[in-house]
Amino acid sequence: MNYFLHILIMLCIYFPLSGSLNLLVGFTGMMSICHAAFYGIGGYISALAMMQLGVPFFLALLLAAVGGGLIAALISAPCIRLKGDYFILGTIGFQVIVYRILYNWVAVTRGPFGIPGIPAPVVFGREISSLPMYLLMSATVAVGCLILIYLIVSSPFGRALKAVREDETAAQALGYNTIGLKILVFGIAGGFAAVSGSLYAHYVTFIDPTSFTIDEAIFLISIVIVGGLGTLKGPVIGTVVMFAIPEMLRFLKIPDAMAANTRQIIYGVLLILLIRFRPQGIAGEAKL
Amino acid sequence: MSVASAPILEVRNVSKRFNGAKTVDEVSFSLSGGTITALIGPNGAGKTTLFNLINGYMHPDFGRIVFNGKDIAGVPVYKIAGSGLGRLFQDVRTFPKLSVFENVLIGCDAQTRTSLPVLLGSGARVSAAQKHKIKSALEWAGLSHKSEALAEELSFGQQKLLAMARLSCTDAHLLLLDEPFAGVADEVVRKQIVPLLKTAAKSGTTVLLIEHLLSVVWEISDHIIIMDEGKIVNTGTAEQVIKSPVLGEVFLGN
Repeated sequence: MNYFLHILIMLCIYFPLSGSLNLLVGFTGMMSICHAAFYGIGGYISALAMMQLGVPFFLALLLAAVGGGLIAALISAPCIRLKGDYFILGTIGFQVIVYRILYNWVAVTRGPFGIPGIPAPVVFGREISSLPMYLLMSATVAVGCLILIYLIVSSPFGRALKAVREDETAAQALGYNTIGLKILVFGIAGGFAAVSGSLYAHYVTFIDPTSFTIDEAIFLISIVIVGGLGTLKGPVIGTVVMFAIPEMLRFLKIPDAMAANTRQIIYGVLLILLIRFRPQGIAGEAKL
Repeated sequence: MSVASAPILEVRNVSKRFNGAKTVDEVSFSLSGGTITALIGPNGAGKTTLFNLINGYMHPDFGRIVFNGKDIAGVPVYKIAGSGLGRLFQDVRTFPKLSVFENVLIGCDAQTRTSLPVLLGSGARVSAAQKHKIKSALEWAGLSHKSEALAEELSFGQQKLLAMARLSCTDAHLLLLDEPFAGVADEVVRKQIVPLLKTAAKSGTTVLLIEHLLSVVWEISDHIIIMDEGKIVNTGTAEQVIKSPVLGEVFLGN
């Protein structure tokens, strides 16, 4: 039962993460491979705010969202002027830089030692430490984030993002500030990723930089591609599928030593098959 | 000089070089409100480059471009567009994976809501006024029955009509049209596009078009500019230009 609850909590943590990455990759057509960086930044901001500054959990969550969003908007500004493959390389660069900072800025992040003992959230005077309570809270936050993402993509702003994806030159000629739109959506997506980071940090109570590597960034991209680009349900389906695969392996009684490798192979094969036979993903609108 | 006679667009001594060759060479002209002007000349004459300069995609090496009384040097493309300049591209540039309706709606949004906070703050609802506007634009384009189809599913001619419908919803008052008649059936040109341009001009919209279909150019243009090798070689009304020997030289070779 606990095992099942754990999976559900992880899904709720990943919904805002994959949903916001889809804002970039699916809706705006920006192949960003640095989402794990904002996820990590959110986790660290939230943990440190609560432990060092003594702020309540929801304020820490908010600080993470705002901080993650601002950092994302700032670092996107130079990247956004890069076109195509160069943009992808730029985001990979940022992912590596952020990881290295988390790893080496020992005075703040404790570097490779990580941050242990992250306190459980306290909501309305109650400590959220049991699994069912944490599931309830993270599901509430996840649903809130998905509703916000829905409102964003169905607004004129969301249509403008799709216009940028389809033809940036034409969008500019119609009067859209495409550079501004991209920086803003990057900031928004970074903010949502940071919310996921906060949920994750207070759930596992220990974070270190190894959770926020480029491997994680690529895993997130895989979720979005498998689920389908440019729709709301795509990343939700993608998250469930990508989490379900390793769990199914568990039931096949594959030895632990092999399970991790088998999982990576299955992810790889799945991606190749999808790109070959269903490039828009399971429930997608746009192709890569 | 009265305000009414002030030109909408003034191009003064504009030059642009690529790899040393002058693609646009000291070009000067001005457009007054509610007129239709055709820019004609052989391929490579510098017509589309001139459009890109006016549009803000490129910056002139020399000279000034004044739109609505303001020098557009250094002004970003989206701001020039937002102040009322619309462009139809030679390669049309619809949004291929979006529906016909969304294509026009994005043009509609552009008219009033391009500032970022406003874009983000407006709800999902499409207003009745917008719906009405889109409906009549699609009726004009003959695409009402295809409003849910993706733009890429349309023929090239239909995509051109869609791009014009999208443009018509932005309320731009200066239209740069790069070959609006190319790839479109003659009947569509005469029954849909020509009347649209004439109506637009009557209501004060200024039109500058690049076109090779000269029979229609003679019919609708108040003014004609002939370009060759980056320079303006002749200007005037259709009657004046048709008589000039330059026309034959430019189009048929020396």
